[in-house]
Amino acid sequence: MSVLLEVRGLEVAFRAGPPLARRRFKAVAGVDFDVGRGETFALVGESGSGKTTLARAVNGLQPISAGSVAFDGLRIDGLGGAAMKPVRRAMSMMFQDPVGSLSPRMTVGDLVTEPFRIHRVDADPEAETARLLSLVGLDAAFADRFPHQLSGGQARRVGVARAIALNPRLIIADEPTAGLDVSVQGEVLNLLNELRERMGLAMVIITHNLHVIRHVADRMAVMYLGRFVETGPSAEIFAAPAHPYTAALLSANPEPDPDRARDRISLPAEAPSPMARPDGCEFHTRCPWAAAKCGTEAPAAVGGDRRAACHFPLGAGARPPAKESTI
Amino acid sequence: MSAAGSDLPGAGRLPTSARLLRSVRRVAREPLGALGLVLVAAMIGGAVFADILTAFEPNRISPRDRFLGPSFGHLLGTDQLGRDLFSRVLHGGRIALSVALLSTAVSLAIGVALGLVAGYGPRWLDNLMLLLFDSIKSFPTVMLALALVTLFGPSLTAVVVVVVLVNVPGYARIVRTRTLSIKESEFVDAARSMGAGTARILRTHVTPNVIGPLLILASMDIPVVIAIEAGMSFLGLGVRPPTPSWGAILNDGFAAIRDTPWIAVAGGLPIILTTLGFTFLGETLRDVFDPRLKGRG
Amino acid sequence: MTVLAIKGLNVSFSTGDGDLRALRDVSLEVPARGIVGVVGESGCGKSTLINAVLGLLADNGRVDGGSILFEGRDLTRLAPAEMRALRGPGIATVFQDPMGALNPVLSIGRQMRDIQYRSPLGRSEKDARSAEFLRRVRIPDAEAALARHPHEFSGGMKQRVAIAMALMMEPSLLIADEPTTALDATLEVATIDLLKELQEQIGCSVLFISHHLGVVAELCDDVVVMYAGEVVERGSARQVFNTPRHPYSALLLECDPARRPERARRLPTIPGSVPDPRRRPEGCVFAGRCPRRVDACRAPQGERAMEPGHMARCHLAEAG
Repeated sequence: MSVLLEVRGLEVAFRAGPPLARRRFKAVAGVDFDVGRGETFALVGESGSGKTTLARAVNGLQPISAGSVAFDGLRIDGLGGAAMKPVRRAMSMMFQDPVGSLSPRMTVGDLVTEPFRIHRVDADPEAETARLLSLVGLDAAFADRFPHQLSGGQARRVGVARAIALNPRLIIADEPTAGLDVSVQGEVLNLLNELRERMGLAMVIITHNLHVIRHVADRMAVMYLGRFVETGPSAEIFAAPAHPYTAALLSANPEPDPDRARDRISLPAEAPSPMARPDGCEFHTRCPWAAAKCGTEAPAAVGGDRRAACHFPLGAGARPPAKESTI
Repeated sequence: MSAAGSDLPGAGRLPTSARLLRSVRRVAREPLGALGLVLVAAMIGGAVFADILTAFEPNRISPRDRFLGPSFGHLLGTDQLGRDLFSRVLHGGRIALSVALLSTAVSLAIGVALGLVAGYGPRWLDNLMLLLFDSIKSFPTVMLALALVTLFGPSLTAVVVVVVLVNVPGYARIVRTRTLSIKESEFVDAARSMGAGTARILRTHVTPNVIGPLLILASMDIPVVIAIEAGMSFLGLGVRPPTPSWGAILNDGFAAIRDTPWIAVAGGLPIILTTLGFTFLGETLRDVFDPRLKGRG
Repeated sequence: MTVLAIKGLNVSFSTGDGDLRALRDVSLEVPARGIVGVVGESGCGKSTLINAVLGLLADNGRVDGGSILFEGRDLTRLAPAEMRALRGPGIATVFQDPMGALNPVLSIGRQMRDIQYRSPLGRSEKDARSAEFLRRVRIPDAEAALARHPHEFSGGMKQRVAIAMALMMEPSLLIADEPTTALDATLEVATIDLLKELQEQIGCSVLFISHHLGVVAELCDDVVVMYAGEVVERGSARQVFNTPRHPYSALLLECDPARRPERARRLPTIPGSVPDPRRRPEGCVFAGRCPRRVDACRAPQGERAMEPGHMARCHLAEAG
């Protein structure tokens, strides 16, 4: 599998704070990853982890402050609008809000054919609308509807139809199941899986929902404060998380089973702000296993395909040391 | 928008006209809205069909018929030159309405364009334009009118220019604020991520979402424009005599208000009725289209 | 002892296109010190149910049948003033968006003092009580936190402040409307644990509305499954989650990706969509999407009890 997207040392910095004391901070603080052709790569993290900023930076919507992004062998970071335009044909992006990412005064037909107009592709709009709507499982009658007349699931399908309109090689999907009912989430994931196989698409899926990843991603990265704390094949990570944060995330997704034993890794306190990063391992302030070394020395992520930035990676079935549970 | 509609024949066209019809029905269902519709329709009808509705030439002087009171022949009586006031009021309506519509349309076009540039453009340009808008706004309308008339002489053009100068900063500010928030919305990001350029984003994604509330606001501004035209003509800064204008009729009537009050009434009544009509219409439109206000007293 | 008993509740909204029946024959009970979860997808009537209980239905909505008994009083018959007196000390609410419940321009301490306006305590005693409740929801440095404004707290902390404010009134019933949906997973479970602990301390009942099956399974004693404005199944959490008897509940559980630990090529879904509430079918509301549909589904379905406390609105549900 050859590499389609190559991200190296990517950093995104913002300035924030009161007007006279603006400080620079890194929302994304140096990440490296590759996405192969036809591969699905998942970025997992909680709010503030920088996952959406990372996706926008890869897509060129957000200027980067260091590092490089290469798509299909071509450096695309820092490309201007005109030079970036052909890249955007091959790399489409889906945004979080299913309805909010559709222009409210345009009909579904206009929305799904907009990519053709933007890139001046000669196509019969009506035929393309019908083709795309049927690909995403919507009736052709939807072409005349406006976004506010769609349910979340239908709007998401329209978003998918726009994303695949010009046969891209990569789709970046930010929380593709956010705001959807459980029974509809499955539909959207099935649709993405199906299209991926049919069109040989590579995907980057950004989500906080681990259950989603389990069913769609080949490889995944767990983000914390703008860095990857663990990367690797998703099946391996689900079977035996090596980083305590990954383990905590995995245990924090309650399953609909009232009899299941609830041994959960609860994390004390809330995540620190990227404006005030802790010393040493940045997770040590919340880590149930933290030792003295963790507070002083930053761990490096070592290894090949499977990496965890932790001084004391967990073995299979690791339990947290006994400690009273706090928020 | 129309550009998109022409790309995809049929799509969205029917819903638009159907929606328009439904909007009119919704406005007509409100008592004030219905009254506003009737008043505005009557004024427009009167101005358009002025020649059919009255047998008298608005400017024909008839010294024998000076200062006649209202009668079946002269519905609103005659003025100091024996001209039929009803005819002058109807023809004055043409001036009032065309000035109002023309200057509002020009203000809208310029206001939207400037607002889009300020809202979507770079920060320094935005700041510069805000400064410009505020400077224009800080000029009192009457002073502005006097200054312009001194430069160009009293004319309809002067009236239009004054109205445009007065209206543009307000419209531009509203468009700018809406553009700033729309700029951050996901559908604009989505368009950018597809490779859409700035012009396309402004045309297809920003403008249609900015224009709706502005049209309602403009319909509420029309009475103000009519009052400005009447006011300037009253002061002799607007249309030149003998062109019929409500403000000019009012001025004529004002001179003889003790003996022949109907002239002032003939000039004042249409101003009041049109102002009320457009205000009711505008307010009902706002209530009908702003869901946040629905259900409030 | 039952704190809240809803019996045969019908709620309609009059719209331009005719009447919309938002709730039909809804019955459920919240026992004293019990936690009852209401689950369902969008359009199932969860929000209407809460608004009906709180007497906050929109102007075009009306209760046209049934009763809502709260500590023996029928809330559908209370005057607006009586209902207002009940909200807060009788029934407190925590919403999905904590920002909506907190006034951004007032300090937390001021807001917590204000909601104690019925109490005879003095100002410093009220503040002490506020601080104590902030400590109970584990806000660090509670006394200092009183002086801060809502925007100085993170999302999870704001939700905990909202919980503290709701519980400070010592209500007999707490209505929690998707209180953890806006929170991250690690915070979500922590907030659930906290809610459960506080409920035990204070001894109130909780009506917990959520679309998150895992959270409901974890927190609730009893579960009510709603679909298209009807209660299709209710029972203890164990009964509903382990042996769902209504096809909708069974499918909903199957759809939850959390139920499948191994990678699935195709995730189960429920084809079709919720019926238009203006054109409800005569018979079973779920029949249009039900894989087990038979002719008998065209007849209206009544509640059918399988075992004590467990009922489903489906003629296929059998006892045992």
